[in-house]
Amino acid sequence: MKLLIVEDEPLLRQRLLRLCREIVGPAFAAVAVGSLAEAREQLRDRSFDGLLLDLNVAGHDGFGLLHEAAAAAMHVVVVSGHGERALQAFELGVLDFVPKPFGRERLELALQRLQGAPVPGARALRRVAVWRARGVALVDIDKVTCIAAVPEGSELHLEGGRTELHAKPLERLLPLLPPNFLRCHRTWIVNLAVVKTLHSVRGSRSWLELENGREVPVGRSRLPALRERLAQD
Amino acid sequence: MQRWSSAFAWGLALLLSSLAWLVVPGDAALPGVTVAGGQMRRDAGQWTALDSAVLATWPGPYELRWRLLLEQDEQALGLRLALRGAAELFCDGQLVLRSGRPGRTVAEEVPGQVDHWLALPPLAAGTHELRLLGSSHHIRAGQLAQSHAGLMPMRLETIPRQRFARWLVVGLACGGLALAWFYFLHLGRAPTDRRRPGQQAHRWSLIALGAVGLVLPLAESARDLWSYPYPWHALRMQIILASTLLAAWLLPLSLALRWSWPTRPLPWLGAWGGGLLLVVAVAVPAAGYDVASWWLHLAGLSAALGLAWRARGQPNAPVPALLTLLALAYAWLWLNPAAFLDGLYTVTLALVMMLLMLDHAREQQAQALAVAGQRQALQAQLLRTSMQPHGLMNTLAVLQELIEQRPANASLLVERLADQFNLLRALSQKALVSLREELELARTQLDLVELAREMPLPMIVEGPIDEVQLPPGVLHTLVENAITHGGVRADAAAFALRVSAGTGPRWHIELRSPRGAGRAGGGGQGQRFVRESLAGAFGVDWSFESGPLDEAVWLDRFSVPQL
Repeated sequence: MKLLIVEDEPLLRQRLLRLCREIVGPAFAAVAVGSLAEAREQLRDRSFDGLLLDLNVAGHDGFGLLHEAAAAAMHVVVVSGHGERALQAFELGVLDFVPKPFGRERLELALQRLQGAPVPGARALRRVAVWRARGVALVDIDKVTCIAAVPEGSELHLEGGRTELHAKPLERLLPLLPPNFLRCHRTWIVNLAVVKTLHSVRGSRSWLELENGREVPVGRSRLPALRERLAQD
Repeated sequence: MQRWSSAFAWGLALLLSSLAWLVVPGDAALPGVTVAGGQMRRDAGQWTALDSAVLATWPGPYELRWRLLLEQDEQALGLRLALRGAAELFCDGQLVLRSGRPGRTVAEEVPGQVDHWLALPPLAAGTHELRLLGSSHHIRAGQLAQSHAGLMPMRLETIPRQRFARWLVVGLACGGLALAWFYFLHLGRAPTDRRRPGQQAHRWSLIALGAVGLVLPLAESARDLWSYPYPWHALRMQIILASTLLAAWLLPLSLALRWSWPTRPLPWLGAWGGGLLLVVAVAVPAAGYDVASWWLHLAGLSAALGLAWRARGQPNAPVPALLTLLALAYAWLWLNPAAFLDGLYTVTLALVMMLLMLDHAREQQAQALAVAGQRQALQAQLLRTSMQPHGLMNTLAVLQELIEQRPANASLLVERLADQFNLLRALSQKALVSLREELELARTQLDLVELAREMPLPMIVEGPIDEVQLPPGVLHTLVENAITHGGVRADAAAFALRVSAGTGPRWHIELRSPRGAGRAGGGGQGQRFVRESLAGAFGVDWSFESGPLDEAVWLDRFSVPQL
């Protein structure tokens, strides 16, 4: 696991490095920096599996970097004393918010989630960061009808038929999404709130018809779970 | 609505006081008793009708006579004689009063009292002659435009009431006036509120107006209460005239200063004073002191009324009450000029001063509440800023690491944190603290960072830090700002605090802090706190600049008054 740690307080940077190394073990590799400029430089030059980000770095607001990082393929974990900004951070799609001061157990939980384990109590993102020609933009998650896996990450299909590109692959994006988003196919996530009908032909293919007329394929192995969720809703 | 009911109450107070002034002495007219045919002559010449203006030019000796007509026998008739001279008064040839000794020269004359209250012998019904032999050598030529000579008969038993009673009303008014005067005098000695530069001038104008207001009734009542030798009469009239002139100048001035009008007052004040002096210069030689005083009162009240009318839109000002008082005074000035000049002006002035005193006290109370509220807000802000989540939580996280890695340093950090909270709590409760105390607080912050980053953070101090007074948290906030903005690094410049005395007298304080990379503008929460604190403590009497000195140093510069 390769992490970028952004923390301006030297002793805390040292603490994060030490604890992460102890938790992850030999697979851990990290770059720790004390300014947003250095962090941007690292993100430009290298790829990371996760970002541990302080929200106030040498007097600068870390949310600027968070906007950019949220659209990237890696997950972001915020480590901050600004507990009141946790909700705002979750809405942007951070994976976890570790409040300062933090112990080993709390950091371990965050790192487990970085490695794919669910974290109970985490809030779903409300807006998803997408890459556009001029930089990062935020799209309301309610406007997303379905998400397809593409080589660059994930393709978000919006209500009006427009599509946007997000760098995280489906498996990284799904844990961040609200509960009404369900993986219905190996390459598709669907927003159950806009499903009109489930079409299923015995022994043949199944698909979902959305309110805007779009059809989304359903994988055979995922059909029972989908039926159950639709029956609940 | 409340302002107008207050105006009604103040107007009623003036009305009742005025009526008391007029009614208390009782009815001066005596039915069946008439003094008629006042005549005068000198050098045993022809008798002519009594003329005050001509009499003022006669040094004497001269003779005056009146006819006293009685419809019935009078056993206890009293008489008030007013004369600017020495006199011997005869009733039907019988000497009834000797006031000084009339003479042919200054040396020969012994000056008499200006007023006399005397008892006449029992008189039968019919016509009697009152004849006066007098001289007025102690009045210099041109000193008095008129020399009133008059007789007023009255019942003997009413003399004390006629002489003293009405001054009780003025005495009560003077009590109120003195109270207001002492109030403003006390304020005049109190420290100035720097947020309102014109306030001190307003206070002193009211102190001067109150002093003048107290001199006027003393001079006015001196004649009735104590009488005095007639050569002093001109001096008394000049004192009254000067007091009236000052009152006419000060009353509009105090109202103008109350509302800071005009913005450049000196030319207006000069013009207004010059106009009043012109009134005196024209009216005194032409018509005498009383007429000149009347014109001065007219001018002063008119200007005051105009200013009060202009202020009618001002919130929280007792303008309706002021307008009512001034309008009523204006009416008395026209309806009964003599009563207004003698005593009602003092009653009016006392009520106006008491109104302004209560207005001032109310405003002071509101200001005190506002200042207290602002101070509490700043205290809360200081504590909030010092315990802001980023800094505090970072410190606690650092503490965790130290506990696990270097317990001895963790213990030191806890001690420094406790020191900082104790100092913050103590200093935030004060309005002003010395720069040394501020420095101690800032030092605790630097100590915390020293422990967290394990590097020395010296602060070079230069100047008389014990003498400088500042609102709490100013220096602490500036140091905290430098730390927050990433200025504290191993290779950074040291903090340097320099205090120097400037003219004014003022203190100039300069803090050089290490500049964090990318730290550019001011205007953040910390600087806002510094500006609000300085404004709260020193009004407009401070300055503060903050900005980069060069790539490595951030410069905060402020100046505050020497207290």
